[in-house]
Amino acid sequence: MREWNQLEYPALLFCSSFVGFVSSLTRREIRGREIIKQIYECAVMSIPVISFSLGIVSLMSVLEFSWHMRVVLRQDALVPAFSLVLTIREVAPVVTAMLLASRVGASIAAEIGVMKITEQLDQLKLLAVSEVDYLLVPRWLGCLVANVALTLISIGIAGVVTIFIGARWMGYQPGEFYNSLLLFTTGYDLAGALVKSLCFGTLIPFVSAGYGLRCALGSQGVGEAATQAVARSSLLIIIIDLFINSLWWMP
Amino acid sequence: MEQQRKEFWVGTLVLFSVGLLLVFAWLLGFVQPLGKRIHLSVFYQFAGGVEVGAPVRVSGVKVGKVEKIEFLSSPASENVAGTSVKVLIGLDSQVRNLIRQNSKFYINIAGIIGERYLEVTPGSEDSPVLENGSEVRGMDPPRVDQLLSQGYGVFGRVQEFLERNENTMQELLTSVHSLMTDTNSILKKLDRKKVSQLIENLNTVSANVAVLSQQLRSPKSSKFIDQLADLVDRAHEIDKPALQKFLQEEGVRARIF
Repeated sequence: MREWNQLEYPALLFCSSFVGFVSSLTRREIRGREIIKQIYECAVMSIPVISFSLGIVSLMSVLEFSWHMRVVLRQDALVPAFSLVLTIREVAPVVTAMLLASRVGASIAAEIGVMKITEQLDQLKLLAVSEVDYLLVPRWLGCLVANVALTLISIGIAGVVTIFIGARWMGYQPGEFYNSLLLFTTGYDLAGALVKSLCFGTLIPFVSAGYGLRCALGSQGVGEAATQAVARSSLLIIIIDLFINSLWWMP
Repeated sequence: MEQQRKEFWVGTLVLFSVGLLLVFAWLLGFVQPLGKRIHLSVFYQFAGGVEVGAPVRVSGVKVGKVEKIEFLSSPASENVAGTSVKVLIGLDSQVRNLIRQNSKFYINIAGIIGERYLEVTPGSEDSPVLENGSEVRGMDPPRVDQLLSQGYGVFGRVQEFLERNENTMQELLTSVHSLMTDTNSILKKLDRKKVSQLIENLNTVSANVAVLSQQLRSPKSSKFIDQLADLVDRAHEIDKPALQKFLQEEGVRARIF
């Protein structure tokens, strides 16, 4: 039997998880506690780092936009509008997913990798428990909810930071800045951001679990799996972001 | 306890996220929990680059947005005849009493990057208020591109005319130049004192005429003119043969009338 490659294996895991999830729905065997635990681990525990990072990125993007606008147009009244569109379309979904990949993806790969090398996965098989249903479905749902929620929180933080900077450093009134904040933003942009966050929230657990399930024996193998999970997840996030952008916004 | 704490935070996060999503949807105009909106269809022949989502302002205040733009598939009704684009706008119900039948719907350009918006002028109080879903004719924005292309054509024809009649134009200009030169030399030869005297005399004559005309408008003059008119009317009544006889008797030979 041919070995599944690095893209096919996560896709296979996703299909199995999807089938497992649907069948558990029909059997009404939702492992609610495990799902809540995963959402807690992925989302709640990531709020501080993601909020801080997105706040700083928004601050930098506003100041950078302001500098460019002042150089070209001698005024920067439309900076919040440009900055928020960039945040909604790109920064919020991608940076959130990258941070989640580095924080949660490594954790998933290492956890499943350790379970594999300590033969816990074999014990699951002996108990006739599907490793995909047991390990992957809760992590998938946890990561999905976490990524969508954190993306929305990131957008909110970006908006607040933009208005704060405008009032504090750029000499605008908060109301004045708020008025131009939503000038170029449409519901289509927000929908695009949600689609991206759903795709990335699905991608991270399956790529990471793929490396965890196939990790080599020994602590070096686990370390390798965690590193590869983060690196490949981040790379795939960028590539999928490009595809979604070209399908969603490009004429 | 630990499990309950996790459930609390997860629940809070999910509720907060759903709340944020609703707030964004409200800010972007998808959800309108407060107040009803009114919708109007504005018809244009040329929509001037206005796009879906463009703001709609009444008296310069943003009160709605363009919700839909579509081409007319069938001929427009009588009151919006000659149009080809239908722009559906949604407005806050607070401006309902301002939008009347004689309101004007302009497409304007604002801001440094030239974003389009729809400006509605409030109607006069004696005009009836427009109902929800009414169809109105918008004021087509000026076609700057058309103006430029037409101007380009005109300038092209002028250039062609000048090129074709280059010699004639040169002669004309030379003639005009010589005429101006001659006029200038004549003016130089003129005695300035005499010209001043002439202007002074003209001034006096015009002042006298003004006085005369004023006097003619006085009651005394009016009476005199009336009397004169009366005299002429009476002279008209004199019999021609009687006049001839009188003149013959007086030894005057004349041909009258």
